[in-house]
Amino acid sequence: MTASPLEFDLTLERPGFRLRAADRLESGITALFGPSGCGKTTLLRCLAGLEPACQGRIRHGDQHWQGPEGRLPPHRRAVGLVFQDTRLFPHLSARENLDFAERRRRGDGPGRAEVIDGLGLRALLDQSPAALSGGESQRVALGRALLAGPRILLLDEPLSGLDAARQSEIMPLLRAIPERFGVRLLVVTHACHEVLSLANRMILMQAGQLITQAPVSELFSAPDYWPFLGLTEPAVLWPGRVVARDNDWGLTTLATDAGRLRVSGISAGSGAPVMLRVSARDVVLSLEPPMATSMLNSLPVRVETLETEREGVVRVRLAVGHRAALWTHVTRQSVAALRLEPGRRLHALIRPEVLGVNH
Amino acid sequence: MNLTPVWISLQLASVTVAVLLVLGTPLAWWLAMGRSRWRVAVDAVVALPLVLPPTVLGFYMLILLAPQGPVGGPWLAVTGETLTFSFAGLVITSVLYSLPFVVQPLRDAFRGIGPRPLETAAMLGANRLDAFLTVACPLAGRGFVTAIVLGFAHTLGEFGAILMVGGSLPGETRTVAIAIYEHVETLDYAAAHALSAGLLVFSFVALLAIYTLNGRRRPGVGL
Repeated sequence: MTASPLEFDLTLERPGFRLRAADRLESGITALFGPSGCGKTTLLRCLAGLEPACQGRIRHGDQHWQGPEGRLPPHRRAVGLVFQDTRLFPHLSARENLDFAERRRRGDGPGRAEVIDGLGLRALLDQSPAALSGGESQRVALGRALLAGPRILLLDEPLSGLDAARQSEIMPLLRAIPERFGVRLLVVTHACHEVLSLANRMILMQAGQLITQAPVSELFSAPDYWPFLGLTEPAVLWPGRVVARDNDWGLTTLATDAGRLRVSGISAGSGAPVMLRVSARDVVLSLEPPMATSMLNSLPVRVETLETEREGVVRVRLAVGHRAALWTHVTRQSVAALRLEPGRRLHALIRPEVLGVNH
Repeated sequence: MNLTPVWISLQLASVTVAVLLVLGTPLAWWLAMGRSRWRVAVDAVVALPLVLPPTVLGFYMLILLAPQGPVGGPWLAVTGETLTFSFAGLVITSVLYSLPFVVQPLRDAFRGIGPRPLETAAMLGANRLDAFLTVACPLAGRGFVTAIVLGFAHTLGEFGAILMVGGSLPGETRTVAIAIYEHVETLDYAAAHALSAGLLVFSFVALLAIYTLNGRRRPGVGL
């Protein structure tokens, strides 16, 4: 089950709309992010082969899905698409919906029992789709798509229309798919928190154009993209891994690019990946190494840039270690009192927020 | 009472509906899903038998099917039999006459399904024929029932067109509707009553069945 990359370079013209997107999807979960109507769903449909007007090339490993040589019909592409409205066949039970996909599977893929247990479908099998709730339908649709044996699974807003409880039920199932089933995901979303807790990489789209693609932590930490992401508070994302757990205090130690940090509220075991966010308002600067504060984490930092954010307030970018960065806001008075200038070394007290844990 | 016309009518209706399902299903699919610019014109042609006087249809069929006609001639050469005044000629005429009653419910059923279930089927690895047979046809189930019942009942009630093409040969082309006409002509009102009442009851039961079925439609399955 080696994962061949999916490369595409596509255009689609419609009256008043032009889609232009090129990228290469590797492993893991990629979020396709952008405002409503920017062409996210259309891009999924192009990749799946459902848009006859789509021009350009799509290549999966050494198999050409679309190009000058011709087009592979949708049913012969190793792709699955879970539509936003799930589209379970109403004339078949949940079980028969799964059977439909399994009988037509295009290669090796997850086993039936694995899918049914992994997605918790056993109790739903004899139900008719009309009797299923939104979350249950989503799970059956997801299972059905996996049983068809895709190498790439396209999900169109799989969490929209679900309440918070259902979302948190489906989220871990989605996160587990790439490793568990060897299938890579491209997930359409317009919610930041879904990107942060789901994806390791993201594609940013606006008005039919692919603006950029990068690892999630990189994009969310880059000020240029904050307007696209709808972020008002400067923040950075630090991917980390659990290295130790202190059961007496309920604290977990994480290794990140910025150094070791201690946080609460994580029960994951050693080695589990964790995504942390540090917002500018959760960073406090101190000249001396802080001795007695209620903040658990302090890191040595170096001032990189200073720029005026608004009247009397300066936004400071700090370097942490060799690769990580941080943002904070300080008043102009503090800039003077701490003699902040590029290159100045001092200490940052930070309060990281745990965004997501992959179990 | 002579029941031969009843058997002839039932045979004619069954064969006609069978032929129409084979020919009409792909036609209805094309009318519902096709993007050809000829679609509207073909739609209108399919609806013609609804508005044409049966005698007009019968007249043209007579010309087509006659031993010297463009269809009847080759048929005579190949089979050694004429199409006019034969059961085969009745079937051809009935297929055209009942065409809209089978094609239109199927077309509307397919249209009601739309492209989405077929896209879904393609995403699960089903080719177009597979998706048509395993998804579109079951979802259009009510459309098929309506098409079969309407096509059957309408063929049973056919009179003008088949009288012109088939005449009234006992045991060959004399159907129920024609037998009723003949009974009235010969003032045998008792026989006319029996056959008429039979057709009336059958037609009512058939329509009642369709309306009952359609009254219980489920969401998402269009007719």
